Amino acid sequence: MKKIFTLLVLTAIAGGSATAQFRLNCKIRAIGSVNVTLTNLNNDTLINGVVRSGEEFSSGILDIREDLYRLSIGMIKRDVILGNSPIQIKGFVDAKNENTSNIQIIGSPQSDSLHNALGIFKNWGKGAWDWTKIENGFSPIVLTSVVVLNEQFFAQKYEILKLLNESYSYEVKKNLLSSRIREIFTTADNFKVGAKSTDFTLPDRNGVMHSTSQIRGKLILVDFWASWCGPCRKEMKSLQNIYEEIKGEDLVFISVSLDDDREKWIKAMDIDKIPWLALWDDRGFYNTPFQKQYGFSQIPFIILIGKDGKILARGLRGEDVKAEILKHRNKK
Amino acid sequence: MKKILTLFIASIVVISMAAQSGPEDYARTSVAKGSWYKSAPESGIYGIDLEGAKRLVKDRKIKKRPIVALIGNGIDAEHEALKESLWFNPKEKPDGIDNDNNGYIDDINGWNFIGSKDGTTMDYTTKEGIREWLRLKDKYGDLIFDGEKFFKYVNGKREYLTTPVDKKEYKYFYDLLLSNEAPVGRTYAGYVTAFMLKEYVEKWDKEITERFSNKQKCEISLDDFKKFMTEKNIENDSLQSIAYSFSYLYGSMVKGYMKDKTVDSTWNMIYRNFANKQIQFSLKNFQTEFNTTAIDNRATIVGDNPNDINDFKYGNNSLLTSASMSGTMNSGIIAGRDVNNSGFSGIFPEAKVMTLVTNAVNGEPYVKDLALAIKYAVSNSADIILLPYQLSFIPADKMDWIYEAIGEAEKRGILVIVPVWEAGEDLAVKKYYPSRDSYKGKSFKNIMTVANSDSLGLPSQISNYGKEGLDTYAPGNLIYSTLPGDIYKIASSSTFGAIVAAGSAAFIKAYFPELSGADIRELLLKNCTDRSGLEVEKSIRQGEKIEKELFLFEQLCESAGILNLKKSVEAALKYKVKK
Repeated sequence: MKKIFTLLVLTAIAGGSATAQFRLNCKIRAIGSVNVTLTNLNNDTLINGVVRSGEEFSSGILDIREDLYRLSIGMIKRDVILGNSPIQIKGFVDAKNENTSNIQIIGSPQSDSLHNALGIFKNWGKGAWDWTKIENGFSPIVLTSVVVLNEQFFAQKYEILKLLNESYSYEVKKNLLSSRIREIFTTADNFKVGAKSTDFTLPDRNGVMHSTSQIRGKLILVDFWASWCGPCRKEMKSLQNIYEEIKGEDLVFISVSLDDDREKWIKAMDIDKIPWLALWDDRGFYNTPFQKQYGFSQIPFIILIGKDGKILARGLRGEDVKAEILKHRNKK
Repeated sequence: MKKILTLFIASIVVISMAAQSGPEDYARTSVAKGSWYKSAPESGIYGIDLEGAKRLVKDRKIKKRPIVALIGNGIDAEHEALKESLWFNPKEKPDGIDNDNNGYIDDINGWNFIGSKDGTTMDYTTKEGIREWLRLKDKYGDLIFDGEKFFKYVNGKREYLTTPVDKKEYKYFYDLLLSNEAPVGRTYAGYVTAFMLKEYVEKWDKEITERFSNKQKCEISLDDFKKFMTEKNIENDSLQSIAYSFSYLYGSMVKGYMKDKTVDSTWNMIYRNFANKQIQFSLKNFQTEFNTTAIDNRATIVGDNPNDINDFKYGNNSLLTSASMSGTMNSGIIAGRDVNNSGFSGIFPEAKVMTLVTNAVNGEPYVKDLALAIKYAVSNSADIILLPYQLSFIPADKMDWIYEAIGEAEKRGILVIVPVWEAGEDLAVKKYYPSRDSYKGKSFKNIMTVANSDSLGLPSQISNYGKEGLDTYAPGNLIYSTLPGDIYKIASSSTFGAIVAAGSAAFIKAYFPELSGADIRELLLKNCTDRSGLEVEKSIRQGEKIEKELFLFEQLCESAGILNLKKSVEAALKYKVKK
């Protein structure tokens, strides 16, 4: 017995090829009644229906672009790469229990490849993740999908993002996946070494506004911190030692606090006796745009900006601060 | 006693199909494809040599389609590769009527012994040990033996028992706790012990105040404490010594509070934070353990009397349960058929699989269900019976049930195959049931125990072992087979070796139906791929730890080798049936 799924929002998907051939057929054994949905990266629903054990279901022909989608069947969620060929879902779904369910997607080798790649990523332990080890084993669309699905982890891995943005470019693919990787790359591009740093204007403790755009022609060492951040306070001591050693006319230190509470900021500054320019972003750690503009998610975060306003080094700690400053100081 | 793998889920590890790369080497390919268990050992891959066996009988016709009863998990009876290989009850029609009057309605391909009338299935079954504890809990759970008399705590005070206690039954109860067959029982004992702890804290207070002044009792030096303990003759590591030591430590910790408070209020803190809290904490611990492990809703779902073997008209005919993965894979390995040119087939597609569900997704099966399933298989002419695993504890009355059922199977010449558990146990030391020689001095020659071996001919690292308890090894890991929903995958399971043995036994039975279960067992054991003299490393349990040790293969199992179907068939052709 054939049942047609309810179809939603399929005309919103632009393009596709001359003869649309995508179709989702599903024949599973099941316990309980099982929901099947297919959504895209924008969370638009392309397919939404209910499947019962042993009954054959078809979505009918859909005109879709090759892209990354999310298939949800019972409690199983799978990221799949679909395009202009039909797929079939088989297996067993226990509506209330993901662990006893098991499905296979037939007709989408890219989805199988993605499933493997995601498995490797998950099991590797993020610290030991070695991109070069899998690069040659998987296609650009699969690698791009892994990155987009783990955006947080890859947000600052500039080289990888650049590579994928080129090998899976929006200009060519014109789909949601390539659009997303382009977005992620552009953000990272904005704060990579060599990029123009984003200028900012912030108040000091007396309310006087200071702009980085006014400080050209000098090396600027910016330290993002907060009073409640233990490592930041430790790093502050290290910076002070370095400052004492190498301070000069050609060098400006700026501490930018991401405290929510002005009192706490002032108190911390007094305790730590910060001798250089100290500014405050009252938007606080969670709402500051600096995280995106400079590419960090933890503090302390220290960058060195060159005399021309371009980023010379980022993510510095401890003795590296001194080393980088000296390195760039001696250049012309 | 800890188990390496919990008894809750038959350990299936499903991995995706290994990619084929490298040279087109038959051995590599068959391992990668999960079909290596059929290989000839001469190729260096220690399979059962299925093709060799087939060649030996190619001019013969099968004399019967043997029935293999798989007791344990559910099955996808609609699977394309299995539906022609199922047993169909010749006496039943799917008409809602118990046509053959056996107490079960529409038992077409088997029966689900843990099913409800409305088609659902239990998803957890309590172990026998837990139910034994529940049975005796009210009688003995609160009792403490002080060396001479029994007492229990009532409203925090000791009350000595005035009626005599059945010492034998008490010891049985106590041993049950020690064996860890009822972990919930241990948490309850912890709760009872907490009252004893509190009693000792009170005693400590009294004795300390006698010895030292009220004010000093929070400021005792370590030396004075040690002297005190020696004088009182308190046994090291006894509950009393623990209670006293903790109270002493607590006392010295809280003495800082004494500045603003009286000695008595400080002392109350010790009671509150230590003794009373321990009682609260252990009660909560027990309640959590009870709610998660001691309740399985058998009464509401199945509704039988679990202690009456004659109350057998329960269950349903739904064989596709939540726990159908391994049952489907097992059926495929034994009797799967090549359909749609899938390239997949089991050992003996002419076999007929009967599915008898006794296992829930979690927990251990009821011995009553196992016994009734065996009886069902016997009444319906099964040739081979597969039990899901051995149990480490079965109460005496239920032991009678299961061995009686196996006895019936023996009389009908049925082979009963049981996989051994993967717990690193020496079977000469720790007993599991059922097994050949562990019931009232009898020796059941139709019980065959099997453990897993791999493509290199090595025994499974952590399987139970020992000549007395383990009969043979058979290929059991990374095998490609059927999964519910017309799909196929490679997986490993602790029971696959026994399944391969069952498929092999079915093959032999088909051509030599006059052979009894005991005969087939003997053939399979005496005609293995010989591995004697090979030194292998095994992980074995030593107390609480797992250690590696070297063994000679012949020490590990009776057959000193790995199941070889071809050799067994060769021997069958020459075998004279013993009368």
